[in-house]
Amino acid sequence: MLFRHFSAKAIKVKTLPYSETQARHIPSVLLMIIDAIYRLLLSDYYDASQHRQSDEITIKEFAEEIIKLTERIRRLAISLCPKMIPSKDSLTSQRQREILGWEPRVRERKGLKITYDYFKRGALKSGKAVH
Amino acid sequence: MDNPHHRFDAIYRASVPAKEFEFYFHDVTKFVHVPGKLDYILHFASPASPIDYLKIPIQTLKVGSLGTHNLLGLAKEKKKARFLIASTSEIYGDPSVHPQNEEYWGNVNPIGPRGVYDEAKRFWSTSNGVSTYHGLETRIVRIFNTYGRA
Repeated sequence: MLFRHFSAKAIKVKTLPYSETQARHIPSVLLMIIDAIYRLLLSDYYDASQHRQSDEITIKEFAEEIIKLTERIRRLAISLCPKMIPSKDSLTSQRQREILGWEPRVRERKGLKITYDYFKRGALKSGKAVH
Repeated sequence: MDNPHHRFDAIYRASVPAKEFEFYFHDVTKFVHVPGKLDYILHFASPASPIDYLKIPIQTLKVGSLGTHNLLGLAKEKKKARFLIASTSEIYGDPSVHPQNEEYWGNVNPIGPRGVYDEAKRFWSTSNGVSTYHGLETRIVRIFNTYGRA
């Protein structure tokens, strides 16, 4: 929800507000996840299987990607506690790759563009986009 | 199948040809009956955003516990219906391990602000595990942050 909210907000504002937290996220594009769920459903694997990107991302990094995409938003309104800046980790789920033959095909940047374009089309149609 | 909290029936109808689609307006926390043969049951019912589930904490608990119980009953009744549940990275709570792999059990505060969702989803996963007692075919997909259009 956070990432959807962020992408949608980028259509309507010129300053993107965010608060950094200790949390690290691994946002995935919905379209990919549906494919992974379908594979799991038809597979013989019955234990829990994670479905996600392999790279963790912070809220700040996500916001910066949105700024690069929009070309209109020029700055972040930051509420950041320096001690809470998280480190970055990476993990590839072995199960999703080995058992289901599935791994993310859409990386964050491309996924963001797909999402941003989707919201932008909707906002332009409804006249809510800020130019 | 969906309940009055959402109006997904219109969305589904718009994207699926009518003859291939049958919508049931029903709350899964009540007894669930679907006539005819079923091959798969996918349980995705639950608010997922903290903004949403903290507005309806009791319903969030119920859909994870009673809803799962009722749908497992449906799967049992349908004999060969495979049951898939949507788990979440929230079952790790406030994790003390980064990143979390599938073997990690989590660090959940049961009386914390997100407890209603986290514990409901953990109950959901446990129910799925014990369902093998009845010979049910179950799958657990653990979804992390997701965004974008379908």
